[in-house]
Amino acid sequence: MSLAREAAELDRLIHEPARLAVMALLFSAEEADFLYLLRETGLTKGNLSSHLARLEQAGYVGVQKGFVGKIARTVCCLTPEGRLAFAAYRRHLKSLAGGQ
Amino acid sequence: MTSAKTLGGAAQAAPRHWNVDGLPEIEGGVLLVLWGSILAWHALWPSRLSAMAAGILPLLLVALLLVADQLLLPQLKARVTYPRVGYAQPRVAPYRRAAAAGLGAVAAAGMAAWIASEGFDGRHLPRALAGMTAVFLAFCATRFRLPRFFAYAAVAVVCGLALPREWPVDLGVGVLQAVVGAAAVAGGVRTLRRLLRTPIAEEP
Repeated sequence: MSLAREAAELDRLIHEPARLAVMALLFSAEEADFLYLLRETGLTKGNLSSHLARLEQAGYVGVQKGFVGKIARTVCCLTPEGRLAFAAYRRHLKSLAGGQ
Repeated sequence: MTSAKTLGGAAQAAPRHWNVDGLPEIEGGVLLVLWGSILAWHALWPSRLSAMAAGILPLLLVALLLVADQLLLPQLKARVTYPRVGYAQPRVAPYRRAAAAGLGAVAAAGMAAWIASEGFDGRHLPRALAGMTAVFLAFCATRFRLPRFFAYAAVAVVCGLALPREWPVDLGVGVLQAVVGAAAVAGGVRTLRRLLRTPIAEEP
């Protein structure tokens, strides 16, 4: 298979840079809140919200909204499918890079 | 293009975030200072009371660690840290936990074998402990990209080298733990003060 064709088989939903950053951050955490993702990714609030919604629609990310006192808090985590999808994406990317 | 190496860096973001406020260092440092002070006190002014304190010390430390880890730290983080820089619960893979426990057991067994051996000179124990502490702290600094941990490692090395050889082992170990603990508390307080300058953020 050609390299370009192999690269085209990467999960496009994860491959988008902002979503890749969100998935990579959530992969190392049991769960994380919106503020943490906002600070670590450097995205705007609206942008992060829309990417989280896409990932939630795909079943990769679970989102729970709640309140701590009077402050709104959104906690996100990778679903088992999301964890598997990201692990597969990483393997694929590594194989494309020649295992480096 | 995003490389697999960059993704590896993101994998350390949550463990690094756990130390963003310096609270774990303050907690660990206070326990080390307590441990070191009681050992040094018993070595310098041995009495029935100091022997009792040194005897119940391991149990006391385990109890304090449990209380601090399960009750105090989560509450402090919820009030101080999460409203400012967000919340992330690091994920520890079970095999990593087992590997760390195995490595710790091998190190402890090696230390015990060395102490039991005929050629063991007890005066080297504080320096050996300083070396092990420095290696552990330098590993944490590299693994989680926390440069201030290199400073604590340097403190352990300098303190280990500066300890006079003629000191009793208890005193050497006690002073070493107290000094490294004090350095960790100072570093943690500095980090916490910097964090407190960050305003509380609100979600949209």
